[in-house]
Amino acid sequence: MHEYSIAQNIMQIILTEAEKAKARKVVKVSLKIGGLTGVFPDSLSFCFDLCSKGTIAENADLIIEKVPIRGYCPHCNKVFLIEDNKYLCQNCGNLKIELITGRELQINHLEIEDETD
Amino acid sequence: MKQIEIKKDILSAHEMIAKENSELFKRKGTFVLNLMSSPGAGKTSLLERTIELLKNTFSLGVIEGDIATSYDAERINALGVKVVQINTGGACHLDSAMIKNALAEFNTDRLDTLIIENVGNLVCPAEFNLGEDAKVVIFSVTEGDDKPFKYPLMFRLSKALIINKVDLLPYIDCNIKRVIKDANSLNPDLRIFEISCTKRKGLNSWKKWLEEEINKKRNTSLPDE
Repeated sequence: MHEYSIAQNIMQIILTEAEKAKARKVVKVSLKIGGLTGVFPDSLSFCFDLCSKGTIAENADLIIEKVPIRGYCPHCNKVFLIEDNKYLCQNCGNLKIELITGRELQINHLEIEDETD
Repeated sequence: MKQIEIKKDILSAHEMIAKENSELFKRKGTFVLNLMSSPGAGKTSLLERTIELLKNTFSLGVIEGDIATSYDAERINALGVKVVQINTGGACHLDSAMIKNALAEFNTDRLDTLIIENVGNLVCPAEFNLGEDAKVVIFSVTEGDDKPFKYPLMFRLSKALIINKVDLLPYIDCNIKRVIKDANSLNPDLRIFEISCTKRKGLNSWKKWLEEEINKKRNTSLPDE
């Protein structure tokens, strides 16, 4: 259940950024979550609802964009999708690949209402 | 309605503290291990054996992470090694801020090696850097040979894999070759040690690897300003 810690961290960032932007309300929070993180979106939404209760982000929509795992092979200079735990170059079979995406735990943007709304 | 760009890592506050921890360890030349496994795989047993192997040569410290109780810390205390217990009170992993707080209780000027025993869990601890030099995943043969592919991040990020309880292999259905093959396919650089903590088997190569890593870290420590 590290989704709860992640939700708490999300809340901290949201509240700081919302204050900077003089927000009255946070309406939408969009996230990028990589396929290798083991974060379960439903649990994260559930924990976010708990953490945001009583704050300006209460009832905000949590939009989760799942990012697939992608690798890069330095031999072939190619980027490819990694599925079913196949952490190797799909072209030459090289095991020493670099992970390009899949570990994202990122807040992308917020939609807020401020005093002009 | 207004959209504001954030583009910020959710765990960036933790990552910053992990970096501070790591810089401190670098200055002091302290080699730091982060032991992770499912509950009951043998983290504390490995810790006990490792302390026996190293305590005459190196100064050691231990941080014990548990949701509750100080049972593990008592086991380590009995071996005469400085141990700090962290009770996470429900959280399923340690984080860098907890380690930073615990460090205040050590004399880091005289610490060759710090061993952190994480909370028993194969998922969450992998996500939280503590500032360690090496993550070590302990897998016991009783857990079943499908674990590397079920918990890929843990195996991908670890520097070493301990396969524990190998003395039980004759009695159970665990294909150790599959474990090694799958773990290596997730992480070709993974160092693998086949060990039985209770029978004290296979510990020599583990000891040798640790000594090399500890000495390497000690020799690259930065002088204090």
